[in-house]
Amino acid sequence: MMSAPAGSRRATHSTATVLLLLPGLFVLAGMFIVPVAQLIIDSFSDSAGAWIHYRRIAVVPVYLLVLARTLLVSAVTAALCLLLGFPVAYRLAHASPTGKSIILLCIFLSFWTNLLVRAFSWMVLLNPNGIFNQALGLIGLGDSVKLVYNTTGVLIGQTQILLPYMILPLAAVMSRVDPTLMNAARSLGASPTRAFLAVYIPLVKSGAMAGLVLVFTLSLGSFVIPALLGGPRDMFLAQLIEFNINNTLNLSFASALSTVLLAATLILYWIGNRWFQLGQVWGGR
Amino acid sequence: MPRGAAIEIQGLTKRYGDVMAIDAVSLTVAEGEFVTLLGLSGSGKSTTLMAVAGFVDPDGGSIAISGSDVTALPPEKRNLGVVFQNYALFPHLNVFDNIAFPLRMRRHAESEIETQVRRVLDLVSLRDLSARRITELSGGQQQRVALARALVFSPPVLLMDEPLGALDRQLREQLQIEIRRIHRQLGVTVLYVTHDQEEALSMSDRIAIMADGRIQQLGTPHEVYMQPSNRFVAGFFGESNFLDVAVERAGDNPVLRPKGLRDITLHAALRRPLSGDRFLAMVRPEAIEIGDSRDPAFENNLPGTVEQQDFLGATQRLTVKTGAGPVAVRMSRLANAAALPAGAPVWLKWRAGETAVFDAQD
Repeated sequence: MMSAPAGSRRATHSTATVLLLLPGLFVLAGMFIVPVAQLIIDSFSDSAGAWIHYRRIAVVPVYLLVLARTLLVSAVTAALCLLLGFPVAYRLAHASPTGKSIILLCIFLSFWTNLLVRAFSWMVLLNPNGIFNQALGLIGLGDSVKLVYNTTGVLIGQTQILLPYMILPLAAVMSRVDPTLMNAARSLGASPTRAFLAVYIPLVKSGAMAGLVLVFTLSLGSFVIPALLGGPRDMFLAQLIEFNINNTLNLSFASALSTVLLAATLILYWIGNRWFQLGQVWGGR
Repeated sequence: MPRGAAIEIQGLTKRYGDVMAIDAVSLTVAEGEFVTLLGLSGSGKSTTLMAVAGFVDPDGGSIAISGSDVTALPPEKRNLGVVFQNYALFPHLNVFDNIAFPLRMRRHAESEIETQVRRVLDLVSLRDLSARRITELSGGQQQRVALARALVFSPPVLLMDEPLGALDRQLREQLQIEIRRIHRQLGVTVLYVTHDQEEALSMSDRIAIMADGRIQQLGTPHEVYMQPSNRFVAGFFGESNFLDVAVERAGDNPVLRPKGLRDITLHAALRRPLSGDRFLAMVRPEAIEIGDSRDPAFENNLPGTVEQQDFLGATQRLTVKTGAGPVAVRMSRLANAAALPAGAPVWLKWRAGETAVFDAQD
């Protein structure tokens, strides 16, 4: 068989690359970029003036309050995911192949379960007659602790739903840490704790940041969990957007709120990418 | 100047499942000595080294440094410099901070750290690279940083696990010379692991050849090369000729008779007693000289005919057929091989001290 000259093979290669990317590019442009652009344009097209909706968001306290609450609850969610996800990611990254499959299976089992099913399950578990409050009742705390229809409920639900987005990038970075580095640190006089703090933590910091940014930005757009597990005061920005679409039918104001959410997400991603090279974590190497 | 400490390993044993990784290894390294553990992969050399470093928990035996037992001490309490095979430099720290790491763990003052790091950077000739990132260094430079980091806290013992394995030949030879210079300069005790026999021969005060988790022979480079205690050790250091012999007179200067030859006796200089019933005599190809008649100046004379000549660059090899089997002879490139065509009768001659003899079963 004749082999093609290197030059023409390279040309075939790049043509193939373009052709393979084309369908995805069309879907992305047609179903994402165009609608988002339309949404941003809509948010500025009001007869009363281009910035009227943004001025309203800035002036009326409730909007900024909801935005602040969304940011705060999302930040706490991200922190909780890091706290709970770190040990799991560590186990996952340094487990035997069998251990790895078991941990991954546990993560994906909950991951594959429908979001609504999980939200309703939490409602059953966390309600005042649920198993947690009954258990707390045994030690005399049953009535004093409310676990659902408040911020606690939102945090529990959000953390459980978003935990895999912390564990997986963190474990990916952890599994790339050369285990002899820890031995080297020990041989140089570091106790296991100091070796962990001085060598391991700095090396997995980028994975933790990737997880934090991912969980935080995903949480910003949450709707189902705050709607089902939160109280009236735990409204997220997404609920406010939905309210403006379905109840007040103020579509261009809803667009403005969406644009604010989008901008917040992009700014956070930009910060994460600039300071912690998230691209390297996503890209694998 | 820091002086080296003695290492005493006694009856060290480590089992992984059914496999004995190291089987009752005993070895004493004197203060300031350079001892190499030489063997193939799986011979137990790295396991032994890592047990001394504290990363392998032995099933039996003990390790003492400077006379005090460290077997139960964690690695960070042993105060030993370790250079790992892949260098294990911290990728998030630059050259200076990598080298400063052990001093920071010991909570030295920053001014003292600065002085000590400069000292070892000079020692390994890396003065100008202290601000470099680890990823910006060549393999040889990384090796030097690893060495500097292991020496900066003036440990009495330096453990090195195949430190030059990842480098190309030229760089390896250059660093061998440098490691020996540093060893002499600091007087530190070095326990060194390699699979490269030339590296072991050129660097070590003594070599322990390991196989199957045991030390096969421990001796100076000359001893293990010229008086190997068994066929494995002999085979480890390049080419050798083995002749089946019977021992005609035992003792310090035994007389050997090659199988199949009536009127020839061979002489060896032996430093240990012989036991067993089948023996092998060994002589290195470059120890043999060629003559045209029996030469009384040599204890060993063996007649034969030239079978083949091979040009090898720096040397040429002659294969000579003798009554005791084929014998390889290494000659200088400058020797007149043209005078020795195939079929030419020759006499092979060598000194008694060049003949090793050992039990064929070992």
